[in-house]
Amino acid sequence: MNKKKPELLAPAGDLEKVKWAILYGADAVYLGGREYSLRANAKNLSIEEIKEASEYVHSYNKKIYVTVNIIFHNEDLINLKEYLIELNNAKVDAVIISDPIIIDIIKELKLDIEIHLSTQQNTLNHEAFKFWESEGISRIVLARETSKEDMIRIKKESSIELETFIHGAMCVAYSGRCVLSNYLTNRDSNRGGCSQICRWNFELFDKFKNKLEFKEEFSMAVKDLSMVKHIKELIDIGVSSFKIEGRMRSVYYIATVLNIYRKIIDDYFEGKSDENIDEEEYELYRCANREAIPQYFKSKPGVEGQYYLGRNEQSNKDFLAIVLDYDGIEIKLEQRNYFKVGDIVTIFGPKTKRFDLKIEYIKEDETFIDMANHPLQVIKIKCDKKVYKNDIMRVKF
Amino acid sequence: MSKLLVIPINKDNFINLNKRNIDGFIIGLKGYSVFTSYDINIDEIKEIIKLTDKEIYISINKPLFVEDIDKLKPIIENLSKLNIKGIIYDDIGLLNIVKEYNINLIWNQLHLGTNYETCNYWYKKGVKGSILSTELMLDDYINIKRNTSLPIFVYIYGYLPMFESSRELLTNYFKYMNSNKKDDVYYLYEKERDKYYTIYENNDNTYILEDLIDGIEEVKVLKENNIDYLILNGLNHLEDKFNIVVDSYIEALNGNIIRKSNNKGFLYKETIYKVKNE
Repeated sequence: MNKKKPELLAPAGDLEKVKWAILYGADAVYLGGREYSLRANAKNLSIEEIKEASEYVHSYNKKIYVTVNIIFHNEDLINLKEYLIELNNAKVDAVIISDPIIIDIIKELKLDIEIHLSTQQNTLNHEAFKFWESEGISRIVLARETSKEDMIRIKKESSIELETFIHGAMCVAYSGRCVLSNYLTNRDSNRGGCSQICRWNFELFDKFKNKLEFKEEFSMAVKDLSMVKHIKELIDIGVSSFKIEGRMRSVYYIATVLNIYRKIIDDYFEGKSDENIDEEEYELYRCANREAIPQYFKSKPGVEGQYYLGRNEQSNKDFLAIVLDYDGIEIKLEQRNYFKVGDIVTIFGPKTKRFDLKIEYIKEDETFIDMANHPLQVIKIKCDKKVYKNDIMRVKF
Repeated sequence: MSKLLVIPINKDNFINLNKRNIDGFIIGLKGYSVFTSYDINIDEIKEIIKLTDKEIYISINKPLFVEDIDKLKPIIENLSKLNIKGIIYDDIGLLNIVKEYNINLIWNQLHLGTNYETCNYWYKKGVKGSILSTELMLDDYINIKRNTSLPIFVYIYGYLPMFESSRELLTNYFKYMNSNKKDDVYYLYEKERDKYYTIYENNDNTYILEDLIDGIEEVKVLKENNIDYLILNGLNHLEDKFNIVVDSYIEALNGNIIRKSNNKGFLYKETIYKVKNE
């Protein structure tokens, strides 16, 4: 195949997730520092942790990008140069920016760091690509609203790298064009304080301010994005980087999503068919517990792209355990959710093709027990198939 | 001396306000403008220019898809031949196609104009003005003006835009409820603050507006600090009421504050973005 393999880009909200992302097949990770990142209330990484993450990622010949993507107010400009110098010293490969002032700073300081333009800039057309290319931007994250047809045209008319989200939550508004959070909760959405007002329900009134009586209140919540069935098309278009959303998501989410997309991309380049695609789509749905659609790729989403029913987004407790070790007979596990003897579970990992296993027994400190019901409980189960450290055991579905 | 720019409600309102002591108008280009109410096509723009000697800015501020760019190119060429003061742009693609013509460009990326360094960045690209974000404090406007050579436009009166989606959220909702969208405008009610927010669809997009902001009492300080333009928006207004508002701002610029306002938006309210500091 003559096509270039795209980069699979994973979110990493902390150092642990950086390591999981690399393990599960990411070609690059993106993360936020403690300053200037649009997930201001996530754990995020200190500059020392970013350095450590950078060394770790580079030791695997992978890449690391840091989000510096808030919309700066005057007071945020203090120390910005120093911060960019620190990122440069940490040898991060690129910064992801929304505000073009960073372009000038990087040029002025002659920093050896690529600049990627965030989706917050809503880049939807080839002329915008040409402008940013002339400014020295090396990659643009497409606006979420970009269609397949527009991607093709943009790719044809620009030599800059295209990055697109392939999985995860969506803003209902054009990115950066929603300040509901500012007005309703006094938290600045464009500086990382978004309180997700778009997930609230509202009573709707007509133009005379008469309340409309429908069975459900008005909601603007949208389903997630999933490009699981369109990866080949994105590769054929020539998109350079496939981005997964979710810096605040769990290790289980990152591992599951990466594992599936890694396999789909690799299979395509190896000429293998994707006969399990429906199964994989369902697995993705289960791990986020949210419905997902291709959004704007084929056509503008209508009513089918929305959520109206009150939803429960509680964890579904599918994630059962992490493999700590395997001695050829038993797996040593660290528990995450309840399971018991007799359950049939599924195990997968970067080198372990998904398989089902019946729990014949559970041992804790060489004592047989009926169930594993304590978080982080270390136990052993019998297994005939070879597994590896950091493989994941989940509920079979 | 700050100038007064008005976004009129319709043609009658334009004609009426044209007789008043204001400095110019912002007019929407039909199909390509958001948060304006008088949106007209290129032929109509040619006609209204003949009716006034005031400054005319054309607002082309919707996000532009590939198809929009293709359609806009001949329109921009036509606009370049007209006696307009400038184009207010949002999408950077528009900047790229306008730069080959001799047209003043005013940067207005809604909520993104928040600091003086970004204004300076666009100044260096040849941009001739910036409409700042409506979520800034009064002191921010003044500090930005002091630290940039870019002419500064402040949106001082009108319903503030706070949400723009390419989805048809009302149409979708009514469809789900097996009903139809009948009105042009609806209101979202938020219980906690007991407030109504205007929500409407236009050009297959959905918009939500906040409460009215009315900085009539801040005109003096903005003028003293050399803010170049103050903008009044007639969107979502009845004409008679808006005319009275415009008159009150003309008076305010002459030093006569003839009424008070309690709707100050973020002029004195700081937003936070970190709930806790580690």
